[in-house]
Amino acid sequence: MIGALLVSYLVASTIVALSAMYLGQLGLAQADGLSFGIMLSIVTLPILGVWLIATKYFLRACLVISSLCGLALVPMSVA
Amino acid sequence: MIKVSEDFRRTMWWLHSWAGAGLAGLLFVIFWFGTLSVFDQEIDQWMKPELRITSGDNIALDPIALPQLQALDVAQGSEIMIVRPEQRWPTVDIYYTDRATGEDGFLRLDPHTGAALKQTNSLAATDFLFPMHYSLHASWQNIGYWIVAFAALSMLVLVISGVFIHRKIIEEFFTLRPKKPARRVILDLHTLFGVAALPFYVIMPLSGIMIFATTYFAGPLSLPFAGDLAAAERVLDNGFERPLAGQASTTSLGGIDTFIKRAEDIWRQASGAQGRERSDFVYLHNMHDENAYISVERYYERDGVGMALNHIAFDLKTGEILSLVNPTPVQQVLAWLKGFHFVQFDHWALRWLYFCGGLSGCIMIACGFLLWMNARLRKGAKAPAKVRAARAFTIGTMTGTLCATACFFIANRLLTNAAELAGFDRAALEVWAFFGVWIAAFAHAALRGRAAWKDQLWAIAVLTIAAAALNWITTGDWLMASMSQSLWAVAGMDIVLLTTALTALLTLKAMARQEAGLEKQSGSIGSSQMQPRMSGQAE
Repeated sequence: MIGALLVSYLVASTIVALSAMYLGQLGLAQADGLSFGIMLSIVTLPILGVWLIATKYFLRACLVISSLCGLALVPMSVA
Repeated sequence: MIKVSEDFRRTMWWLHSWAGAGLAGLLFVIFWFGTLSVFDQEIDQWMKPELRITSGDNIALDPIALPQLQALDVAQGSEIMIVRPEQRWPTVDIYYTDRATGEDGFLRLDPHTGAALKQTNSLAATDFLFPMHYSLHASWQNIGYWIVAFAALSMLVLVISGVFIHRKIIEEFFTLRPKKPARRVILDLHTLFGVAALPFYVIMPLSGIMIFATTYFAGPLSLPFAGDLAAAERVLDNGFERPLAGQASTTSLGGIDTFIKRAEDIWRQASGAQGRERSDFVYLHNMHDENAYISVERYYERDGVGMALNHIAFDLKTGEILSLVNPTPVQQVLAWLKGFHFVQFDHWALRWLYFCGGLSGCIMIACGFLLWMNARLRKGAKAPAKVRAARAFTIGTMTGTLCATACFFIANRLLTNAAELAGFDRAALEVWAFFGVWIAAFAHAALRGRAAWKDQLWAIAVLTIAAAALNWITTGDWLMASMSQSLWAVAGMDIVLLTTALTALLTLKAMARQEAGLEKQSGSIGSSQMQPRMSGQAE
């Protein structure tokens, strides 16, 4: 369960970071971008957590999701 | 009925059982203090007798606060915050930070005379019970916030998994068999209270995590601000900042009410409605500086659920509007969710509904925990130490928390402002009373085993009655006197204390009835082998 929540947290952080960085560039107010990111990420957390726990391919799912998040987060952190 | 595979249901069952058992104690504590926080300001009125004043929403600040503000000898660039009085918080509170010394100060003023009130040195509900709800008073590295967030997230996971494991959720909602064995009654209560307030259990943890999102997602949120989290928070809260000019100003603070009226008129015109566009706080920034400004802020809607986040900043010298910020559309959605959690609206029926929702959450968690523990008790004859530890933990978490809370109230009524012990002042001693009794409750449960349930229920009944009696003795405000003076907060608190005592006594009676029934049943069967199972059922 802790593993699933950690991976979900990584996904949520990625959503927040993406919203904070890029939604403003799409014409949304910065406050809106941040708020949207917070809401979407926190709704995603438990649903993804439960799905990960229920899936038969837990490790594979975690690996794929973590890699995707890493791909999204690393360039942003460097930038 | 939700159609899911048996495999999935089994996984959800495992998740629900073990996540629930692992976190039930923590969730119960968070729910209990959250429930009390619904009426934190009312509890403060009970714990701090100087707050037992009737007040109004539109008390002018100039005659009350100005003389005190002018007497405050704060350095150039200092900050002052004024909390306007309202129905639930009757006094004018002034917080200030002196820029020269870095010291924080606080004044509490009578809303009618402007006189500084003698303050009760207590953390009371707003500074002790409420922070217990969201941080557990564990401040090191914000660890308390993270623990509570983890628990809130787990609560959501528990709710989702709980929905999946019940095959006939609607049918179970209408099922309560009070004459069945205790195990069955507890299961029915768990389902009944779980389903009754299901949306509440989803939205409260969800909105709770959103409130402290800047703590949990500090890194990602500060990315667009080059790692400056304060800048991200300013954007999220519609904050405005004007730097110090560094030049002393000769302009004196003429009035505050004019600015409040101007701000409220602007909000009223913007909304086009006749709602209560009332400001909550007034901030005086950069005092005695050329760039001094006043910020009028409306934080809560009051006649609506959401948070308002309306800020208007005026130049203190010229009266010119420096900043006028209203929430953006998505920000409004987030503000609504946060407002839903903060419960600052003026609607007493809804406030009581929140209180009942919180209590039903406590009952649901307690019943779930009891179910799990009883199952272990039935299987655990070979591991008495583990069983004893689990039972002590359950009792200490549930009845122990209630005993500790009652002792916190009693300590508040017994101690005077001059009280001091081993270097601890009154406020600290009240907190020590709380934690001391809580630890003692766990130790007592470990020593007394199953009998601790009864002992602690008796203790709750006696302690809550004692708290109400001590309020009468120390302040003279007994129930009828409070009601006749329209001190509804104090009267409400006494009523809740007495109701808690009554509930504890009724629970004791129900336990005695269950035990009598089991003994009768055991006698008629005449089987000594049934005994371990019976004791488990009677928990």
